[in-house]
Amino acid sequence: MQTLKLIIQGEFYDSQIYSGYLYLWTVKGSIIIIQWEKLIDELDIPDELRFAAYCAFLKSENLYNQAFEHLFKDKEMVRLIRQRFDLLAANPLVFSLTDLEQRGLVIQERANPFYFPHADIAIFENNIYVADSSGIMKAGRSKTSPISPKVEKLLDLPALSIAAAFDTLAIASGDEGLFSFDLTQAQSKKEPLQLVNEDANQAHWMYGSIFSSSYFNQGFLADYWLENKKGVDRKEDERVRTLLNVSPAQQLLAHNNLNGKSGESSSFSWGVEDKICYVEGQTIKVVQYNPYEYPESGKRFKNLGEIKSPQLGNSIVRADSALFGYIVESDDGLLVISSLLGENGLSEESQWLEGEPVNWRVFPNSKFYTNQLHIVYEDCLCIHSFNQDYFVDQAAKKAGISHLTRIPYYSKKAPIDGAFQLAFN
Amino acid sequence: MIQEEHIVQNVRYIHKSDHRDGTNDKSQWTINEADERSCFGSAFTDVNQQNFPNRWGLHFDDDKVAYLGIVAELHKDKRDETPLLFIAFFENDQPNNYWHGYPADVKRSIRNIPPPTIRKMWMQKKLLSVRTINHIARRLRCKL
Repeated sequence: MQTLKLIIQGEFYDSQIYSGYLYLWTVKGSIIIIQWEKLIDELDIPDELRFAAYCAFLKSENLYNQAFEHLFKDKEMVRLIRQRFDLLAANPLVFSLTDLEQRGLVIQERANPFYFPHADIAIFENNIYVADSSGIMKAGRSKTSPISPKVEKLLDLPALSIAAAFDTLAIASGDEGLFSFDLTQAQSKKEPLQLVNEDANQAHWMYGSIFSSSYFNQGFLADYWLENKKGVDRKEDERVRTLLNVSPAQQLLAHNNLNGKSGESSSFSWGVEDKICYVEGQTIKVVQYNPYEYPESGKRFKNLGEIKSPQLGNSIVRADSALFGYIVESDDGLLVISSLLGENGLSEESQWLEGEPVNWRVFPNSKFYTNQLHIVYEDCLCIHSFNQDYFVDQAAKKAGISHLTRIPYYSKKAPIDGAFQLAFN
Repeated sequence: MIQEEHIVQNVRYIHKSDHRDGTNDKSQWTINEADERSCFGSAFTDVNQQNFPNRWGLHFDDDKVAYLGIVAELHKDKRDETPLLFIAFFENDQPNNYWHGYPADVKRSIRNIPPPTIRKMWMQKKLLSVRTINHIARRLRCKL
């Protein structure tokens, strides 16, 4: 199944997509805001491809809906839907900024008020957080004001990577370690909490827990007990996080009999939501994580085995996970290991995206853009949309985050009853 | 050991021997001392850096940014096929009031990452590629 591509020509540094807007950080130092929904609605495509475009670029959740589960048992329906995605993919959608301006889709270009060139950005609960080795800045946003004119410095802590969930910012602070910062306490000037005092280059959420990756260690999991606390009524139900322990990833792998050459430094590990990945040579070892199982149960971590890819190497720059698979950056390109795996553990639809990206990101915590991979190249932003994952058995899935265990939108609100049981049984 | 003092741009500058003698936990210069001083001189007078207590410099070869150092032996990462460094970090030693510098191992120390204004200037003058600038900001492995 081909990947859909939408290309915006121009010199960009970073991109974000949130609540119907596409944010582009330009190399010259401005931020351009594009009406993403309108752009997709107005695509010049035949009507029979409109549903595919809608799912691919606007509402990735749609085809995961349980209503489609039975429909997808009909092979003819699956063939038809796949064909629509393939037809849409046949001609990449290419726009220049001038095109977008002429169509009235550029709603704002403004001077960048944040640190620039920054290290990372997160948008959470209508706030934009921009991280840099100089600290973290914050600005609000709304439908009418995609970036609030009021920009403030949130923290002095140097930050290389940030991720927001559960009203908390996870912060990888390089040689200063991994931190968490309670965003509800931001006004009280409370200091961030240090979770790991070893090097941390990337921070990712694994439900209520936080995983840090580094070139200089095997990664750490700050493991939180996640509990659904019943409120007076359903609206007041919330998830409560309690720190259990902080473990090196190596230890978790050893407990799951996944350890290879112990202490081997030619490894890189990362963890996002329900999967911890550990690369050794041309193999990714995968451990599934269930934060609702008691640590003593022996079921909190589950060995899912290995994925092999001849394109994997030791020179990993960074990696991330999405519903559609794993994304691994090396010196000369990106490897996307598709969630559609063959019997032999080889990824059948994996893609090698040649060329050195300036930047890239996925949106595993978003409501509607979980199938997108944004890659900034020197002369364009290329938005890939992966749509094979709708047809993958989410309970048995090894490559990529399971949709069944995904916590809706990462708010403190309690998850849909039974979703975890379905996934882990 | 007495280290020879130089006057560069009207300030005192010394070459630290441990960044040239193979000390295994120190990054090592691969450019000669005259080039090190030239790199410092340019960084010291850079108008974009006057508000910072430290300075960050680049070394040029045929008008192109070139490598100027190598990662400390102790910190070499076997996954990194090019453990070469291309940013110099300079600091003023107090209370002696002299400047010295070393090849910055940005990947190892967050303190060595140049501030955003300097990275922006290097990017917009196209001295370093946008990818390299992004990798410096994120402290990812990067090369020229």
